[in-house]
Amino acid sequence: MAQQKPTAALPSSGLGLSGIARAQRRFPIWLEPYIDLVQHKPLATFGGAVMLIMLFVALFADVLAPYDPVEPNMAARLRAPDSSHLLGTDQLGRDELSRIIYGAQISLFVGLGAVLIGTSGATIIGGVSGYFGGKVDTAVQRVVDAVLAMPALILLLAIVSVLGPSLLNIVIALSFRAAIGESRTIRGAVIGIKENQYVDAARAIGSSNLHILVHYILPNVTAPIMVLASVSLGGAILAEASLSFLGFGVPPPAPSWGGMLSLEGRRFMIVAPWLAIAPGLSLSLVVFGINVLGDGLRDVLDPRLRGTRG
Amino acid sequence: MRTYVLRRSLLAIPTLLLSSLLIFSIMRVLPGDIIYTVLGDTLVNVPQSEIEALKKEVGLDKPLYEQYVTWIAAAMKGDLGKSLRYRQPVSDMIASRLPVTLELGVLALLLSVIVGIPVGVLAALRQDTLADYAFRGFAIANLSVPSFWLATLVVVLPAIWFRYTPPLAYVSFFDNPIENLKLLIAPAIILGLATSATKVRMTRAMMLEVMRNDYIRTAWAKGLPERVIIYRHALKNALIPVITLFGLQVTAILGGTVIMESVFSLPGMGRLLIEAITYRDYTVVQGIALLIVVWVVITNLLVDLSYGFLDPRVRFR
Repeated sequence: MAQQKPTAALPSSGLGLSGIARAQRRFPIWLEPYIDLVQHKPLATFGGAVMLIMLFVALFADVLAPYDPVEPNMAARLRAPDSSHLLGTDQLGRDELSRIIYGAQISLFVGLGAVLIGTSGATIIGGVSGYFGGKVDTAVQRVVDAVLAMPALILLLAIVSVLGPSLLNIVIALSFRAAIGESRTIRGAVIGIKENQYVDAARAIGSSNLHILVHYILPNVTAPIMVLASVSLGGAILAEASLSFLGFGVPPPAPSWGGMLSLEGRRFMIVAPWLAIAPGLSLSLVVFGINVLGDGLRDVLDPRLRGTRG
Repeated sequence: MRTYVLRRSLLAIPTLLLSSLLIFSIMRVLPGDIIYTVLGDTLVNVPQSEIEALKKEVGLDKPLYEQYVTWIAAAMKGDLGKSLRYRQPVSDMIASRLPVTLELGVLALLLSVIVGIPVGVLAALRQDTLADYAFRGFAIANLSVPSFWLATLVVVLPAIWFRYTPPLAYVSFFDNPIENLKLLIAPAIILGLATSATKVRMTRAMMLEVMRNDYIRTAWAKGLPERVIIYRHALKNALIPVITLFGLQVTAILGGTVIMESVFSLPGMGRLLIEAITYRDYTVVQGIALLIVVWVVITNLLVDLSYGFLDPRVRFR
């Protein structure tokens, strides 16, 4: 962390002390933890780079993919990797590389969708439960217990089997599970923060509960929210892949990484082993990237861990 | 302590009831008439009278709350209803599949403890050395590599390299323990490694925290041997939070068995669940989900109670 140096002469611009500190920073204060991350955490930076590459690939899939990802081409079935098909082709002659590139879109869409909706839901549930405490908290926590008593994969399978397998329904199912699961961590953080004197002070000057939650509590739980979001992004991408692998995810012919490894495709892997490698490697690399990025973020965003290196 | 045990046990009851309500609600939101879906798969041109009879038989003609109460009341007596597809009692179907899942789960859990805790302790004791980085890398790689991919590779690669395919017929442990273990060892290792990752990270973090305590410094100052300090003083305290993980991991392993049983064609409860979901055999799905929830809630209860025994501070909260 960059230390603020005391200034000898105060400028007469009326900036005030915090204004001076801000004027002296090379970067805005909220950016500092991330600068710290890039400077001191090579593994987390690698994770961030993987995420950026994935984002780039997903956004520009139309330009990057050499072939159509779903159109079968029976003349080119099960081709080993060569110069025209860098990662080979599958049992329907579709280019594996193009499917991997478009698969990034699906993974990212499901992951980001589930994290955005899920984490927002978790913030509301955890915030209300932790802030109000008492009976509200007990009631909410019993419901959370009840949902968490179901293994995530089984709950997701049940929800998707009811809603029907589609991209949107998977996002809904994952968001629901994430909202409930993550709410507990946010509740814990809120309980810690609401004991602070500035919260008492806000209450004393007559601020409403909503005002306190939004303006005093929320800004102070952004660090755990960021960390949670990064961890659950990996979890959501893996969960989508697992569902698609089992045949309850994104319906074919959409190129989901998990679906590309599914049991139906397995018998072709024995004659075309390249089909078993690329989707799994992409998935592992992306989840690894997210996990190390999440670890790094926790280190730089959690004040107790600031200054640790690794 | 008695009040703690009583209070914690009572808390499990609303959780169980709410979970069962959740399962029931999910299954009943099914779009379309379940009966038609079920019969449509197996029979063509089913007469209306038969449909009505089946509806009556499974109680679908009654209002929802009544259906729920009947289901729960029967479940408490061990009756989970009949499979819509096979017309067999669900409890019998589960009972015949349960041993496979139990064996796989227990093996995986054992492996994750045998690997996870020592690796976590070693990583903590050799903090910031090459060994520490290697162990942490191992843990994070385990968290990142999807177990279904690893399982697929374990099945596909030997088939390519050695033309070896795992035997498809399942053998019970009591009939032929060697053949049985041959079938289960690969899925158990994959599942065990996947769950060991969080144990490694947790054990390492807790050991690092505990080793910085004053009483550990005192133990060093007294000249106690390293082994005594690590095992008797540090590890005992560091493992308390790791035990909490157990509850979470039983849940995770139960989810993992679904995938492992599908990949390795093991006739366990997880595969039964997948089949039941595919054919919308909702009484079976409901029954398995309920059993799993009871299992998880009881494990969590035991974990919390053991916490009370291990950490005196918990009982007095």
